[in-house]
Amino acid sequence: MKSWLKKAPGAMAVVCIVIGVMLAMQYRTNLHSPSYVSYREWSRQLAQGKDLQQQNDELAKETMVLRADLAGAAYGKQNQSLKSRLQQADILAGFTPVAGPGLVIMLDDNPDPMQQNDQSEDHLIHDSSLLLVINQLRNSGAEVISINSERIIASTEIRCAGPTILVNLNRIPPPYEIQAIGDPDKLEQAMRREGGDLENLRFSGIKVSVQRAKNLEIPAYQEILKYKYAKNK
Amino acid sequence: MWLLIIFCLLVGVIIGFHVPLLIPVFFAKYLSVAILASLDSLFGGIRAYLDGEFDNTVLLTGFISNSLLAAGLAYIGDQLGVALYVAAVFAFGVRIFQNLAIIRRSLIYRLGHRSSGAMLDH
Repeated sequence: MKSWLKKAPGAMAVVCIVIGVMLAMQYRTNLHSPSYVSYREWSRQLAQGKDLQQQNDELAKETMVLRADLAGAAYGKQNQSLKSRLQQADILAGFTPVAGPGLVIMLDDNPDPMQQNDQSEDHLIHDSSLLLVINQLRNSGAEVISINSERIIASTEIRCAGPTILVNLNRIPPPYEIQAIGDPDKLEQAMRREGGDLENLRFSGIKVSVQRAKNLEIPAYQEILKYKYAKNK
Repeated sequence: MWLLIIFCLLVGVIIGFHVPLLIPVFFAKYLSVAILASLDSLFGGIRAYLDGEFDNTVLLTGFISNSLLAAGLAYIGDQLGVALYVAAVFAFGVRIFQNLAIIRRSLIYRLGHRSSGAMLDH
């Protein structure tokens, strides 16, 4: 025994212990690694995979059915109320060109040459004048309004830009043709009202004309609407 | 000798199972190659022992350098996209079997020598 111990290699003991540790650790790591799968786990996952495949097939079928429904809805076969709501929203948002009876108002700068005491500002149409007219039109039931073919939508701005006016970020020069679709009688009444905005403009020298139209055509809003801050809730 | 090997292996396995830390999966690959290298050292040591040429320093240095080289080769191979660990697996695998064959013959020779006194050629 003693001679055995003397001959016995200490290095061998160290090597063996280290090998044992490494083997055990590797085994444990493999147990936890995703590549190690027991037969039971494997068969369980196989069954699960088949289930999921089946579910997937069923959902795919459902998707096809729902798509067909959606197409039907878009063609107006199934949901009339949804379709009409969509159309209303399109008109309100200005996404579609519209046509209908209404009123045409022409405004132009004062054609008379300036007198000595005249202010140049009094001879021009201002953004505020247009805003007043548009507000008055809306007040009397105008549904869709445009200025020089620029569709007025909820976010449209009307502001002064030198000799021109900015509408939908487009410069439009005079003369201004305001088209409004709505009840022509009501609109005309409101516009021709004594002491109204148009009369005030006329008094200040602006050329104003009001004309009824049987069929006005107003184009769609041309720009792309992008909402960065407002999100649907 | 055999007792020592089995005993130490068992001790190592027990320690390995009870150590709380777990090797990351990333290193597990290289550890497996290192295990192969160290097994080669173990068999080489046994063979040397049976041949009477055993040396502690040789075994220990061989063990360390082989393991490191094997693991390092595997790692470099992974970085280069070349399966260099195959070289280690192949080399050590072949050597393990060669050493095992030598050990087997040596043992058979010894047993045969003791029991019958006859010499075996191979």
